[in-house]
Amino acid sequence: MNDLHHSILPAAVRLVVPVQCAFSVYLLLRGHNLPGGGFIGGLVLASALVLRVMVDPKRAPRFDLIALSGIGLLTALASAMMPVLVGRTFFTGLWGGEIWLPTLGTLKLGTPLLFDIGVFLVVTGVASKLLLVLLAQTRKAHD
Amino acid sequence: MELYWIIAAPLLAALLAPSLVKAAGARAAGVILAMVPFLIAGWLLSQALADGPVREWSHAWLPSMGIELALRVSGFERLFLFLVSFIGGLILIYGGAYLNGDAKVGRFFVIVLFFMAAMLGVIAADDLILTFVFWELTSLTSFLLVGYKFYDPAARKAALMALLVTGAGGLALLGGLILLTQITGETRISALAAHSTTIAESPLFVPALLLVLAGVFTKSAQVPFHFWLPGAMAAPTPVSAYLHSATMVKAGVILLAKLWPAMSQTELWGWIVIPFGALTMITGAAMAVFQTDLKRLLAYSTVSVLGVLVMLLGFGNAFSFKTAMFLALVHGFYKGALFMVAGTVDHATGTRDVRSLSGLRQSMPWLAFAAVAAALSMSGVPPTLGFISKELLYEAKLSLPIARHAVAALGVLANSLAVAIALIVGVWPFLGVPGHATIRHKPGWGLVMPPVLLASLGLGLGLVPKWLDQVWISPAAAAFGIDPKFAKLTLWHGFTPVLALSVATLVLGVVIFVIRGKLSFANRLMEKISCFTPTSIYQAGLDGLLRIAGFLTGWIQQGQLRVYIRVTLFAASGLILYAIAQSVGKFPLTSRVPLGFFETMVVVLMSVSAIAAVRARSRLAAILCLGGVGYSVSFLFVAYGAPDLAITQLLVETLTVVLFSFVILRLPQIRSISTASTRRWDALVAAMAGLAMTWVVWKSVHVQVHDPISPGLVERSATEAFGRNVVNVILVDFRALDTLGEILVLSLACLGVTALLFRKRKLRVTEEALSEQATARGQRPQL
Repeated sequence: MNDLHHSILPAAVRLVVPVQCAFSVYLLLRGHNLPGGGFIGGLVLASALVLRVMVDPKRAPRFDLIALSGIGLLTALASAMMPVLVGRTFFTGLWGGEIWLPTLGTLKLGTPLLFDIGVFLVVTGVASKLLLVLLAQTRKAHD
Repeated sequence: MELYWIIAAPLLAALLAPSLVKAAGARAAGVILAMVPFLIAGWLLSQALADGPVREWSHAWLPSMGIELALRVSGFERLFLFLVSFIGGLILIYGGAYLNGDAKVGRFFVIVLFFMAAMLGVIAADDLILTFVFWELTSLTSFLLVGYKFYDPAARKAALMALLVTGAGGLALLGGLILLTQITGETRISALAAHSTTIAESPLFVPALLLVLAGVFTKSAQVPFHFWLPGAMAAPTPVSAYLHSATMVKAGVILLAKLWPAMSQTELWGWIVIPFGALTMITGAAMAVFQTDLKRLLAYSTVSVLGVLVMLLGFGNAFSFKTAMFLALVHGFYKGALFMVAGTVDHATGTRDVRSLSGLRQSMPWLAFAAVAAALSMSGVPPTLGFISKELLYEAKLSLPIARHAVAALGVLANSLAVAIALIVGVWPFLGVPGHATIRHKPGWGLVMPPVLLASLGLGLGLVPKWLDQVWISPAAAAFGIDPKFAKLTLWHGFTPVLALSVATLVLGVVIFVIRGKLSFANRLMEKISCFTPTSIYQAGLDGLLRIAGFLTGWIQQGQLRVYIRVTLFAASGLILYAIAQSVGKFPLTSRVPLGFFETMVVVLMSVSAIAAVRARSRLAAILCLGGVGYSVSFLFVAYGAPDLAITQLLVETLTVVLFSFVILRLPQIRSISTASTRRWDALVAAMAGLAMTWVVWKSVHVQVHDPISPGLVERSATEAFGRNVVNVILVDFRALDTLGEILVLSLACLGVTALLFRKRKLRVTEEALSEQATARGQRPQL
């Protein structure tokens, strides 16, 4: 592995990871109309986080990934509860205004989007946590 | 005041308890929290004094099943609600002083208040199912309180025993209550009495009765289910005084009384209830005399009194019913007081062993007063409440149609033993010269006032029996249609046979007390037959269950991934193939799905990758080939128009392959390839699984049971959910609840995996327990 640490992979990762991060958000936001969404976006972001650590173990995310998925769960729940607060049924979609974003076009804002962001955070947190834990285990076992 | 407040108020207090403890300390918190039950008790007292009407409150819960949150307070409920809330208030004051300095005292208050709410609920609930819910809550809170010192294995074991016994009884009770509603179509307890003939004539009556009684007998510690109660003494003493003498164990008796009008129409009632009660009465009293631990002495004598209460309800006449009400009240007063005395003695001297306690009256005069007053009431010495209840008891026994002399003789024996127990617990430790056990610190007022108050009430109320009768007992009896002129309560009945029995009881009790050392042969005899006692049967059953579970786990969970996969695939595909074999010929075997050039190429690629994976000689090659299979699947998704699925599959596949290759680079080279015979089995299982999956897909494509829902979803996706990607709209809008469940499961699985891989938690728990033990040793040697 050592030779890899100093050659192609780190260089590639340095280029790819920022693109991956941006792409994951792009996938998340376009999901309602085109292939993408919180689940897929979360997987892309998780793979970016894992790639960084694969290249350099010291670059593990400094925030708690489980807390991230907890925040995601709360976000999803909040989006489900919002209609209740205004007297509608649990999980009824509430829609607000529209915003225009470059490359994405108009994006309609609403609780389903918030819910998708929750899914995005949960999937990012869970997938990267699981992979990083496994990674750390194998490192520990063989170092 | 709306009736639900009697349950809501303790719950609200429970929420405030921990911060109150932090802000004001345990003692002050106990006093402040005690105001809540005292207010409830005060309201009940005002109702009783004004002879208030029956109060009801209800709210629909499961209307389709006729289940309501229904509460009802008549004279009967009022008596017991008062007992529970009044003693509960004293217990909160006492508990705050008793556990002062303990790190978990906030938890104690929360659970005790929770229990209080549940117990008030058991009494006040008028709906059968609601009663059951509260009933189970009392069992659960009892479990938590018995296991309060969770670092002590003995306490954990006792807590589990109490939970298993009362929990099993609770299940039986649920069955019985459901049968009752099936027979009558009623869920209101107060409405059941009108159906008593229907109930008695129903073929389901006997099972219903047996199940209900199983619940009652386990909760109220009747022989042979009594053994959990002495074990439950592992709880801190305030808990024992409250739950395991004054309130929870009476839940069975209370329910028995509530169901009495509905279920006692046949002779079967008496034939079951009386013998169990009588046996419990004698067993409890006999076992108590040989104990040396104050709390165990009191626990066994509580078992005996519970037996008496059950027996009285078994007699089934108006007189005995009233006597039972009275005895329950009296017992709550003197036994609660004695338990608190035992706790204070333990707290001050560090021991509960009667053999090393003596001469405590000099250092704790007020406590000595409480102990002696309670002991007098327990022995039935005039003019205490206990005397009146004993007179009533003998009168009830002598008025039985059959076997009255035998029952009365048993009663005299049990009561004499009770006198001896009262002398051992309430008098002996306070007489004589100070012994081995010395006072380490003087108990504060919070440890002395509650028992003194309870015991004084036992003395003082004995002087006004008419008032008690009018305000509490007669309304309680009237709730069951019992004419209040039965059994007037008076202190002096005149020179009757009953008085002779009372005097004989006292004399015999003193004799037993004096010669108790010589009775130890009986104790040795009991120890010899201990392998047949319910405790050892329970233990053997539990051990056996754990052994079977251990054997099964060892047999199934061998730890070889290969075996797991083989068994899982074999079982699953076998079941699928069996199910599908039934439908052969019901759908065509020709495909309706077009197979173009692209799809054909993907299938070829997939097959080649699969074969290559099987033939690979290195791990890395095998993993890469399997990745090829996965990618091919995602190409298929693309070909059939499911881009979201394809992307997900691609991503998961990529992550898996990368991770695997990362792990595999660190593993040694494959040394041996599996043998030919293993491979043949693997091939068989693989072929089965593949065949099953193919067949399932094939069938699902060709057999349409219902109209497909997808066109409707596609149609509504853009108009109602403002999204053109129907897959995403389904995930985040149409079926968002499913998604919420899935991400919750995902998070939980992640927590589980992390916990399994990092076993730090185990270490932390041990450390916590050690520090708890250290605090327990440093500040509170005995709880």
